[in-house]
Amino acid sequence: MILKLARKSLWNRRGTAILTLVSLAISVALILGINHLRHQAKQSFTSTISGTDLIVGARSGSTNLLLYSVFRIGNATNNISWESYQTISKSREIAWTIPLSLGDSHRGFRVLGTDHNYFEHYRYGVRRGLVFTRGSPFEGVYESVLGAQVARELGYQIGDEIVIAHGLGDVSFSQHDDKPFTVVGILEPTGTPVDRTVHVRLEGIEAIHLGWQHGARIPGRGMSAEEALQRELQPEAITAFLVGLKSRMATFRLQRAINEYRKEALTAILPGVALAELWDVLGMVENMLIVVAFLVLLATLVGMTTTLLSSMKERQRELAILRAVGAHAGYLFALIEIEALLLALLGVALGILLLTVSLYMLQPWLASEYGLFISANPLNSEALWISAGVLLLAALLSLIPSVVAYRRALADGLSVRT
Amino acid sequence: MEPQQPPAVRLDGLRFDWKKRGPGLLEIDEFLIGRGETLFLYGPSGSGKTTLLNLLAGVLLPTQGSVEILGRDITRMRPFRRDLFRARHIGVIFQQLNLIPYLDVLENVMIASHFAKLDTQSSAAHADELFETLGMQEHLHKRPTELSIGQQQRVAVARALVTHPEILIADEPTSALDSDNREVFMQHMLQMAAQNDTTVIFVSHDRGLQEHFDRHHDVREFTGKGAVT
Repeated sequence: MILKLARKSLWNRRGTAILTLVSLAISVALILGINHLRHQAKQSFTSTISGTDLIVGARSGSTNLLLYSVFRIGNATNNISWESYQTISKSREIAWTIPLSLGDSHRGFRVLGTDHNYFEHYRYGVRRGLVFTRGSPFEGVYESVLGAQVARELGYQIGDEIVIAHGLGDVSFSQHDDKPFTVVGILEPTGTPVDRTVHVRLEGIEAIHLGWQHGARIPGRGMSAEEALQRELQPEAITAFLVGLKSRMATFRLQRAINEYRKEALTAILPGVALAELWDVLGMVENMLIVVAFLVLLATLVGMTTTLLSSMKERQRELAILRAVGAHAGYLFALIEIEALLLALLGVALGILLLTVSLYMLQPWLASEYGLFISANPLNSEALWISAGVLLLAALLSLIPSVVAYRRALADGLSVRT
Repeated sequence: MEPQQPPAVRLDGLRFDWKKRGPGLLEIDEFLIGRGETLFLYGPSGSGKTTLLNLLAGVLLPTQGSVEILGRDITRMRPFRRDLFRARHIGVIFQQLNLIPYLDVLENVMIASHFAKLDTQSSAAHADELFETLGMQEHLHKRPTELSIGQQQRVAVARALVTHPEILIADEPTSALDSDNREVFMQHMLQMAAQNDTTVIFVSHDRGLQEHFDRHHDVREFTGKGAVT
């Protein structure tokens, strides 16, 4: 009966009730949405690279190493000599290594020199490997594999020829145009920096730099692509390399060994730890967002309370009638509470629906446009806790109008001050 | 009326003080209303009529003294029992706007049965009889706003009587009605109360209505000292 009364009474005031409901739904969707995106972003971020036990580069800070080796942001301070790379790769504990050579670009996208291990061992997310949409890994020196975004934005197909620019400028004046690369493979979107990378063989990087010195072509020493193939194409140095171990037990031992490597100043980092550290820095922004969303929610709930409170005046008569027919003052208290909870419950349900539908509709766009893979299901245990918190907060705030109803019921009796 | 039955109302040593607000003090040393009696209380507005009704209905509590309804002192009941007692034994009709706007006519009447915790089916049957007597059968599923004021007040009578109360309290129920409707209303109310052997306590400032009642009292008698019986 009390539920029926609450329902009908709300429906009787549906104009304001629906407005309150809509604002509640929006703020619930906002707070749950931000929480959801935060989780998804963190998950996606911290799994930008996985399955790799160590990242090794020239001595530098771990964030810097992570940024240039994984995110292709910024530059390496120094290189690793090929000799050191070979020596370390031969350690007994190491299962595989992936060499990374950075420094060139193609129309704004980084060019990465690497080898076959990249396609075999590189993992992101939950042990997801790289998959080819079309084509296959590179074989020849002048072959390249494109990340999904590179291929899409530049409209490349298998068989197209691309020219790599020296350096990183979007519009570089020094083009390696004498040695074009043929696109032989295009990767599926991963939502990681791999999508924005042009992959070639280490030997390819080496070949295009023959006859170059200090970033410029040496006049008269130019070499044709075919001539270059005849030369020794083993690189002298690489930028960084990824290490997979046979047993994770060896991680810290090998890390120390590399950090203390005598012939060259090197740094080895644990990608998971470095990613988490970096995320903590970015986390400030995320906390701000949550605080803002919470304030929006609070404002909405205060608005709901105000609405209920101001409706008490027009409802004096109704409450007096209920008292007259025998309703206990506590019944009136409960009636107002239930109305508020009903509103809040509907608001939460509507908010979740709104969020799920928007995520569902945005999902393909986010995936294709930004390589962001976001689950359309925002319901996790934390979302349920937040929803419960919203209901609790609504119940607490509506104590104010409920107490007003209760006290008025006792003080005014059957008379109505008009 | 059997002699051993306690009176409908017995006020004893009653004092009421609004403290900060209101018209002042009620003092009733002793006051009795018998079963089935009809009582007319008159007095100008602000003379304490509504306060007295609130005390009788157990919505307000006296500062001192006892309010015995049907032989039971409602001032000593726990609040929850007192509200249930009101639901079961006292019917109330207000001046106007007696009905909850978002419930239809039938629901407005049945809500009284709900709070009295009466059997829904027998109450519904009784409500049917009342509606028939009042000529309201066609309006059961209308909203109060679709009814005329006269019709609304008739629904209020049905609501007040559906629980077979021993006491009916009416606070100026005719003041918003025109003279024709007023006569119809008075007849309906008193006839139906008599059928149920219900004691009627009727408050009005319109002394033209007092001829319908067994006893008349000026509320101002209670604002000074003195026994009234």
